[in-house]
Amino acid sequence: MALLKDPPSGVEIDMNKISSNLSEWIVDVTGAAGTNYEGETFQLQFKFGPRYPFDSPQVLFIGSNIPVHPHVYSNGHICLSILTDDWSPALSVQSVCLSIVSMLSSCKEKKRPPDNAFYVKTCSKNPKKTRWWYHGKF
Amino acid sequence: MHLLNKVTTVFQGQEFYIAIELPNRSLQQAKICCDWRLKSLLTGYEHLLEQRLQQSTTLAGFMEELKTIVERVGQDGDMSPASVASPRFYSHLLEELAEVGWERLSFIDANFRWLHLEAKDSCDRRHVLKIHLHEQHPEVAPDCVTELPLPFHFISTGSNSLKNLFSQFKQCLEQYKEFWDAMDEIDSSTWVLEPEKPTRSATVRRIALVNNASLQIEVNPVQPTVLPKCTFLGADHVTSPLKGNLCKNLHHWRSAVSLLDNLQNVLEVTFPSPANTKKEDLSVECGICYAYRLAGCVPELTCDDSRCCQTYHRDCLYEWLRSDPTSRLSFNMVFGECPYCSKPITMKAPNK
Repeated sequence: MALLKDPPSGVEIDMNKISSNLSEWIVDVTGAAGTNYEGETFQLQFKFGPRYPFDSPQVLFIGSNIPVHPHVYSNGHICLSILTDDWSPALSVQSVCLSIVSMLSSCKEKKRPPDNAFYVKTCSKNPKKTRWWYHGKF
Repeated sequence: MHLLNKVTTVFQGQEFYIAIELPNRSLQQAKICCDWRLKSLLTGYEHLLEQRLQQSTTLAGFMEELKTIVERVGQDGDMSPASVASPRFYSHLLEELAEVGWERLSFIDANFRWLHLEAKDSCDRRHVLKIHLHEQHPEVAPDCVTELPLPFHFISTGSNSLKNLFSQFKQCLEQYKEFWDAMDEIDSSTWVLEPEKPTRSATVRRIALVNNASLQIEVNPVQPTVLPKCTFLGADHVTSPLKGNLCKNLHHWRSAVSLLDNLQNVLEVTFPSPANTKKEDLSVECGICYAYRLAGCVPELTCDDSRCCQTYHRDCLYEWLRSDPTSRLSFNMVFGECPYCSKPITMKAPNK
């Protein structure tokens, strides 16, 4: 498993919430300065399956503060291609966090995805079971 | 009331007498006495006996169980009780050891069959000669285990004495002096990635060149100064010029110069040394599992793109490419994308 030797700014692992078999991590993410999410903190949950790193981890926002973002659903699911189709075993927890922070940073307008209400009602608990239709390249 | 049963059990032609004491006629509290040979056989199996006692309903049933246990234990271990040789064997051995010098003896087992003798060669390197004495020593020549690059054969010239054996071993050590000098120089002035801890018998070294390329040499222990068998590992753009240099400068190889100097001259490189680099900078971990050593393997495959050069374990990359629907297999070669830079990467499919 990748170790976060030097975490990128605004990313911090919650050591107390790592499960004993290391299969579940909680990472605290802080919105970057100068963006719409400055000062806000979010919690990301990573769940690693037995095939990791050959299979992507399950990543979603949890807790009370889910960022309002056009690619983040109100149930915490994230529409990010590297978490499913574009996953590569070379990606680490660090690079996934960085991608998510940069996704938040590049947001110009804080709003939910247009199909949020419908998706949240119908989706599976596991975001990896959703056939994502990616808009734009990240 | 105490009931005392004396039973004989025969195993592999050996008879064991055991006495079983049954207070209150209950098997649960039975006390078993037996002779020392059986006892030493059963040492470590007490819990098993106890369990069988609890489970058996009749004494006869337990005896069957006991027989099975003894038979099974007998198969695993050596049934013959520690064989004791004739007194002559020991007195002779003591004389011989005095002849060789007691300070040479670094180990001897309880049966006086295995002994380790230590020798120092002319360069003060320690070498161990492990000797297994035959029961009929000195009539029958002893077996030897050594850590020499080539097998050591003891030639019994009339006498099988330890002194004779030891002096032959010391002569043999001098034959390899040049080889060990060359290897020691490489081990101390370059970063040897493999073997991790080279033994005196190891003739292969994998020397780090730059952070993702290395050179593997196989040295001839008899003629260490001749050109060793060279294999380059790493990205093409790093290793091709070196291969070119090797071919171009081959005639500059001088057997009077040390192996390390020759290699550096011919390849026109200076190997990174412990004096000016850190090993972590040279032993680059696998881009997939983030480990350097995985099940004894080190990352062998490298992305050929000069801006990427990421290294992978064979197993890790194959596992990924196999599960990636965009990669394909043709003529036993796997064609896919580098997980780091997405440039084409190819590898041989492991033979399975």
